[in-house]
Amino acid sequence: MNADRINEKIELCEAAIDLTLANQKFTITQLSEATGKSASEIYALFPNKKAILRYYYPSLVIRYSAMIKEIEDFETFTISEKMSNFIYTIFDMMDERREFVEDTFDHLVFRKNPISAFQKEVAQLFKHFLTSDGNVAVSAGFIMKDYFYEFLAKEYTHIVKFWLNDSSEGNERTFALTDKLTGFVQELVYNKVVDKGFDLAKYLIIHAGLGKKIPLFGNCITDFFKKEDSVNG
Amino acid sequence: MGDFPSSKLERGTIIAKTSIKVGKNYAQRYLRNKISGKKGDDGKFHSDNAKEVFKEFTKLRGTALKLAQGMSMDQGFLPEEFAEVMSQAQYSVPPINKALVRSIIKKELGSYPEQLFAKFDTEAFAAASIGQVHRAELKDGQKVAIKIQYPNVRETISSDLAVGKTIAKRFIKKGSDIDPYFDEIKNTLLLETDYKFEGEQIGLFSERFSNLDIEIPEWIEEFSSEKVLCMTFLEGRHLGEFVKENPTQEDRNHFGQLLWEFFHEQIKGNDYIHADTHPGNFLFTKDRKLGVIDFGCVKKFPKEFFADYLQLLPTHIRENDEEIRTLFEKLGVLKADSKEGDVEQEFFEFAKNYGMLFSKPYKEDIFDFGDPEYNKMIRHFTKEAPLSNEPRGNKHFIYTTRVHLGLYNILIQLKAQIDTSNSKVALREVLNDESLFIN
Repeated sequence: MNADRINEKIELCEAAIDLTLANQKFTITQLSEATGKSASEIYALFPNKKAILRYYYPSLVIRYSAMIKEIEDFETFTISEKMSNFIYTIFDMMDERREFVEDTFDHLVFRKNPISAFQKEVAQLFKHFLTSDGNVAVSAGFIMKDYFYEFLAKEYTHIVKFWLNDSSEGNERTFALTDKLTGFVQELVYNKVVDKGFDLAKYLIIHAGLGKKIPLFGNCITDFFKKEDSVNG
Repeated sequence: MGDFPSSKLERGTIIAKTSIKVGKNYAQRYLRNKISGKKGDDGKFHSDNAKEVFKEFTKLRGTALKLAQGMSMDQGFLPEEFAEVMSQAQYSVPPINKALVRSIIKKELGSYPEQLFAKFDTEAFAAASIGQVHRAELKDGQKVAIKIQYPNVRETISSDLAVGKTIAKRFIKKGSDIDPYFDEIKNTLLLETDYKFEGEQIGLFSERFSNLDIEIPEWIEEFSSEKVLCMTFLEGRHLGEFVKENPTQEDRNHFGQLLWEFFHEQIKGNDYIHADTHPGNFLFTKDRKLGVIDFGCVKKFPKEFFADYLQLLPTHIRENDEEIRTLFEKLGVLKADSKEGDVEQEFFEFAKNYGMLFSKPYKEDIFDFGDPEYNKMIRHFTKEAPLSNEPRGNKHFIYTTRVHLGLYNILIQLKAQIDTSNSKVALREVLNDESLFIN
């Protein structure tokens, strides 16, 4: 989808939210008047009224992805910084339509089963962050599967819930929670202890003769590392 | 622990745990030395302990780190190796996460840095106790420094000081009233967290010192708030970097003289004084100007106190014991009606000799702060300062001493030879005493 089309969708979605907040509901005629777009133009972008409102959450991630392209050195951010940046920025965006988020986050995102479009977008974004980061440990590959990103996206929705109920000054408690959670994820995926363990095992088996002492096991492991080396070039 | 100062309990635990751990290390060393009769490697020991304190206090930032900074400045009070490690608090604290920086800017200035500035360096180039500084460029090309306050610093001042006070009470004489001192520190720290006030001070100091070779940044109010401060960027070297360049004596004297003149110009007119005289707040520019940065800690002392404080100088120069004694009593250094021979005498002798040492540069036309003997004496007196575990002196001494000792400390490190003639004129004017310094 091109940028103009996305912008049109976002504009319609935000106008629809404003109308809903003002009048409890909205009609396509009202939306048409508010945005200057004809009903057919609106239907060309959305199948129905509900879809317009539902688009709000995934659109946050799309807007965020566009925004980070403007940050010159975003690639130098650590995983914790990238994830925190995403979380804080989305809070800023949600704050602009907080009433709507308070009314709809539960049924449009949090309790949505199977997972919502928003969570899918978040999972994709986290996957991009993790798979494009050069500091992630090789061994973290064992856990970095689709279910891991979905799990992170699910956990993220808990942070949003926490934020919505946070009455501390300046949402200090949410910020602290985000800081600790993203710090934990970073520690988990950057930690090279397992990588080092593999290095040690490889050395002991191939070069220090451990493989010869336990031939069957040793041969299997040697073959494994040989294959791994040829894959890694 | 991440970038967020946590609860009062968590912060208190870290402070208490660190003081207990360091205290235990010192006690064990004392016992070890007593039993074995041998002295261990003191340097390494002090340095290791300082690293421990620095590591823990760095996590806390804010008030705790300010205290570390204060300790490093009062060179002589701490073992040299300890002070050296703690002086890192003047320059290097791990910066907060980049995401948080963006979030704070958005919250304070209404937009993200990439929307506000032509360039914004997400990597902080300086990080200290209550905030960190980023380089940026305005859309008109002006290079600026953006100071960002760490989250919750203001909120943790009271709780950190309360913990500090509890610990201090263990060491000081029972019944001593330390509240006025802690209140003074608290009020000053609270003011330091108001970046709007600091911005205004930058403007006022610029006006006051435009006649000297002093460079003060320009406050850019449009991109500032109470927690974000935008000012023009000053290029220059800090004291450490300057000294490493092995400067000529002439260069050392030049910058030392600028510092000396800046200090004496400030005492005119009972106005605000830059009260954070530590090396991190001064820059030596390539065009031989003295850059003064960080106007968060500025003080305006009560007129009467400041007049009495300055009177210490002529009374010490005249070496008139009676005058000195009366002034000390007025300033709370000695208890009222102290006489020779009573318990106050020890305090009197110490404070008088310390005062003599401070007034020494004014007795010369050119004073050499590079004199190793003078350095040794200053260190000796500062080390011996806590003669008793009883707080003494007016609460305002906390910051006058900081300014004065800070200045001497920098001049000693610079090994500068200072021409005192202008300062004597300034003091004659301020003290309204034409005969001062005239033999």
